[in-house]
Parts: sequence; structure tokens; C-alpha cells
Amino acid sequence: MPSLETEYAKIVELSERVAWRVDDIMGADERLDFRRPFVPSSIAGVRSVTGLSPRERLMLNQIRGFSYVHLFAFVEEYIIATAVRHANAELFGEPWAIRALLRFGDEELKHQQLFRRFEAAFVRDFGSPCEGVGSAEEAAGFILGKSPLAVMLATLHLELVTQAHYTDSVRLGVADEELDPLFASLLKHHWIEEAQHAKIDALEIRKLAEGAPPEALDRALDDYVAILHALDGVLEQQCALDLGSFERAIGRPLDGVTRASLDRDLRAASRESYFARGLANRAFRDEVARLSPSSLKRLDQLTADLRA
Amino acid sequence: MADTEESRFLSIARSKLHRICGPERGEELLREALATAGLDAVRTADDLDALADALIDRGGFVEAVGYALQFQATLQGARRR
Repeated sequence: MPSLETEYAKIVELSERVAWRVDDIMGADERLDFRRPFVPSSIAGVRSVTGLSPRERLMLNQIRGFSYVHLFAFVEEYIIATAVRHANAELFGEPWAIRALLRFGDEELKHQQLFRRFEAAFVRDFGSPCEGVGSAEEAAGFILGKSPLAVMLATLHLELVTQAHYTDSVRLGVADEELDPLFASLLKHHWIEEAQHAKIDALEIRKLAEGAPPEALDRALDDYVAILHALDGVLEQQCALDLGSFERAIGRPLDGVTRASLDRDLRAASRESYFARGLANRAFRDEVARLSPSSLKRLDQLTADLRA
Repeated sequence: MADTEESRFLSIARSKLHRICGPERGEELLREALATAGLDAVRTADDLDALADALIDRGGFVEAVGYALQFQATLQGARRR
């Protein structure tokens, strides 16, 4: 088995090879193509919705694209703090680990800048105001108050989910949706760097779990579940805001039945694309399985609860 | 658990101090900080936190090592006093 030093060194080397600049993905003055959808239908959750015109369906997809970048910029807030905290802990220790963790923090901050650039381009050209959930600091404070092992589990989960968003939705199945090329590029380049971050998360999880008593591991799983439930609340708020943004954009209120049906579809798509795919991810399950024999059952229960 | 934990937490502190101050001075600082913190061993994350505080109180560059250990202790579950 390679040493931790070797593992971190490999991550840094690969990270240097695949690194990109924000301007390479989207220039400050570049414009999104509003003739095309922004996110795959699995994330948008609008494909099966009835009673909307093709143009309205497209607008709703684009609003979901706006909330996608907003939500990732939102969660990056706590992930940046986590990466810096782990880098601080490693200071004066293994140089490759410090470099990997510092790059991790730097890259997450860069991702946040990229997401903000997309948000700004959207706000500039969409033609109707859209809202994103607020209080990233409050959510970050809640998450960072949980066990560090749980925080790293949640981070690994989210990072693997971004891989799934690219690999499952863009590369493997729905290229025929012809997404806006800037959005497709965002999904790809986000994933490319998150793939390295997920490896760091796994190493940090193993370090934190090493020698930890069983009750600490149980608490970490409890805390991880609490973090996911908190994030589920954030997604619920965002879905409600998306519907409000959509009604403003189409210039009419939705009737009660359509609104309720859309709300259900958007929430189901959010839970599936942000949570269920992470919970089902093999790499994630392998890490969780190392913690305790019963941990996978808890993941399955959580998946069932979220799909109920 | 005590032996494993002691060697793990102590080894984290020792390796940082040795890397920064050299083996001799690092070991001396470790002994002094353990005495200041009233510890005969570093069994828990809370012990590591107390050791970190003792290093922070010394000031200078050792203070920075103390802060790094404090972060390490927090990640490992230390309850800040």
C-alpha cells in the first residue's frame, strides 16, 4: 500500500497537470447561450413536467442552472474553510500533504469565483430576477460545528456528486440535450478538479478515523446525516425560490395543481441528483464501510428517507 | 487504546517540533511543554490541545507550531476549554 506521502504527492502532481484558470472556462464578458438548456434534465427535473410550453420548459431549466451554480458557490463556503482547517493542522508536517490541502483550498475558492461569474452572466442577460438561498455563513457555521469526520464525509459526498453530474449526465447519456457549451464546460472542469479533492477527502477521512473510538465514528455518522438533512432544507428553500423566479420570468402565476406538481418534481430531482447519487456512489460507500459494520445500513435508510 | 493514542498524538507533536527546531531542541521543547501542561503523556485529543496551548504560550515560532497542533487537536475531537 502506498504511503500517505506518496498518495499526496500523486494528487499534487495530477492537480498541477489538470489545473485551469477561471478565464479559460469563462471570460468576464462572455455570454451564456439562452437558446439552449444549461443543466442536464436529471438535475433540472423539468423533463416530465406537463402543461408548460417548450420555451417555458427551457426557461425553467435555465433557472435551475442558475440555482445549480448558486448552490455550489454556497456550499463551497464551508468546504474552503474545511480545506484551510486541515491545511493548518498539517502545517510543519508532511510537505506533500500541506501542498495538496493548500491547493484544495485554492481550487475551491477558484470554483466559487467561477460560479459567481456564471451567476453574474445569468443575472445580466436572463431578463428577469432570480433568487438564490442566502446565509451561506449560517449554513457553513452549522456544518463546521459538526464532527470533523462528518464534515469530511459530507465533503466527499458532494465532490463525488459533481463527478456524477458530469460523467452520468453530460458524457454518458444526454449529450443530445445540447447544453450551453459554457455550462457543459463548467460541469466538466469542476469535476476534473473535484476528482483530486475527493482523493484528498478520502485520505483525510482515514486519518481522522484512525484510532477513533467506535462512539466517535457513530457520532460522525449521526452528524453526517444531520448535515444532509440541513442541506436538504437548503434545497427545499431553493426549489421554492426557483418556482418564484419562474413565475416572474413567465409573467404569470402557476395554477395550484401545476405548481404543486412542479414543486414535487424539482425537489425529487434535487434530492436524487445531490443526495441519492452520492449515497449510492461506490467510492463513497467504500469509505463509509470502513468506519463501522452497520454504517452502510444507515446510508440505505437515509436514501429511503430522502426518496419517501 | 491509551498506548495507541499516546504514540499517535505524541508522534504528531514530536514530528512537527523536530522538523522545525531539529531533534535535540525539538525534544527539549516537547519535554518542557509537557511539564508546563502538567502532562506525563498525550493520550487524548484534549491532552494534545493542552500541549498545544503550552507551546503557544512560549511565543516566537514555536507558537505557530502550537497553533498547528491546536487545529490538529480540534480535528481529532478536542473540546476547547
